[in-house]
Amino acid sequence: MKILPKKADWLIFPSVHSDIHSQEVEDALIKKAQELFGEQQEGENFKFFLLTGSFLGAFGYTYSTVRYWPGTIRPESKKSGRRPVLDAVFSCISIYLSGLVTYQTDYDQAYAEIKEVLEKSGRPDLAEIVEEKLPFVSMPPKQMLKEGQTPVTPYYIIRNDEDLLLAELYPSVQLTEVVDSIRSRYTVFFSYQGYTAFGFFDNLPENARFGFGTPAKNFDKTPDEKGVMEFISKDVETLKDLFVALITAHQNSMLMQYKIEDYESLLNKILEYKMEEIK
Amino acid sequence: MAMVNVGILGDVSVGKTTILRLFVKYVEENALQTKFGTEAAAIVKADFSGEATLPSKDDVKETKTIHPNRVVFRVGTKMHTLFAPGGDDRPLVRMGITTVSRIARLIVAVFDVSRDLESQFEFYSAVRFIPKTIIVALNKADLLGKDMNKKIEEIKKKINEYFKDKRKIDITGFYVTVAESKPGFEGQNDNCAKLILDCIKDQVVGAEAKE
Repeated sequence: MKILPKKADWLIFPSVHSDIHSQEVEDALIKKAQELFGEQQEGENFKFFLLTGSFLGAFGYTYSTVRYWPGTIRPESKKSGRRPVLDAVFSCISIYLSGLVTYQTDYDQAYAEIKEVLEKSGRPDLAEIVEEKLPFVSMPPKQMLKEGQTPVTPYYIIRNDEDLLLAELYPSVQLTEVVDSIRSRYTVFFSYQGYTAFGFFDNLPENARFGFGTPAKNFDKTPDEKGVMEFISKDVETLKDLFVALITAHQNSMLMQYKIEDYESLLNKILEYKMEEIK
Repeated sequence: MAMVNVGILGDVSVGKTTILRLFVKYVEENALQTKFGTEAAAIVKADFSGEATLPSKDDVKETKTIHPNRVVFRVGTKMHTLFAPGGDDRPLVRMGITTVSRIARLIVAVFDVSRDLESQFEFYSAVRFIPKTIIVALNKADLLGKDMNKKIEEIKKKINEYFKDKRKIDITGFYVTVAESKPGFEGQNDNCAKLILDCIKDQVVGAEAKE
């Protein structure tokens, strides 16, 4: 039987870091996101949670969101007895996942180097074998895990290009076993000029305009509310472009910012989890 | 000259990111061409987004590297990547160290020569995969004060003992470096760029020890 401590011990809830907020920009981002994702069924929108942020201090993280997830509590909500669980989980695992995604990219890059050497040495057959192993690189590295843990990447890549990755979080790995509220979630990771952004969905928006294969549009306007609104209405055609608008809005303090004091508690819990079960 | 992945490793606050930033500055100011006679060089991608700025009371902003910093640069027609993970013993940071130690063909081990070496060796003891040959940057040499050369020789001896005797890893080059721009230490500033250039030029194996 799994005995886990109370979530409050290791799932750190966010607080409001900056309340400067443009409702107009948030509304425009939500409306455009719904337009890009399309509808699940007639009249029913996909639930989504998009975020971008930056590190603050040794363990802190500040982030802004664009969301449509009815029934969840926002960190600024004054309703008693309910806590922003979705924010706590998604913001913390975003940091964890961004590490995993970039390490996977690093392994792919290292593979390109190996492939070049093997092909020059007349062994393309070995390059094929290595390529087959690439999706199964253990993340976190196996040596960091205790005996009995599943050392596999906790997501299945559905589609990716140079700067956007669409994946499904496996329900079987310790990440989702520790935080059952994220069981089988679809996620996207976007990287743009050194910034990163994430998206989470309740279901796979198969027909969404993600923008795979086309580069994101650069934000070339004045980075103020007017510039962002103009970019959203005239330039945003894909989710990649929308993320550029979100990153610009966050970096220029147009959206409310939330703060997680210690994003690592969740990762530490994930790494310890199976050990507790073994004991 | 093949594409090379270089990992810059070391204990917390030894100056890995500072070396990386100085190298970026050298590339951007065309100093690789003017000082070392390289082909045209350019930064393709510099990602320091994994850097967290710590609260401080004075003007000096202390930073901590959470996700590895990455710099992709081109010399002539070849691209190379430099990785500099943080040095903390935190799971998220340790993931970066482990990954970089696995994928980097070459490792630059950075030491802060003004600090106790034993605690810095502990960092490497926790890294399982290290190539059979590495090069070493003896950083913050400006803080050694008098008898710098004598102290450097003693430090080299201790580092050699640790890697060669305990880890069976050969050191193919020592570079005395100062990654902060300081008058009087221009040669040691240059060594930060030189050690990276020598990594991609010689691919370390068989390289002569350099200072």
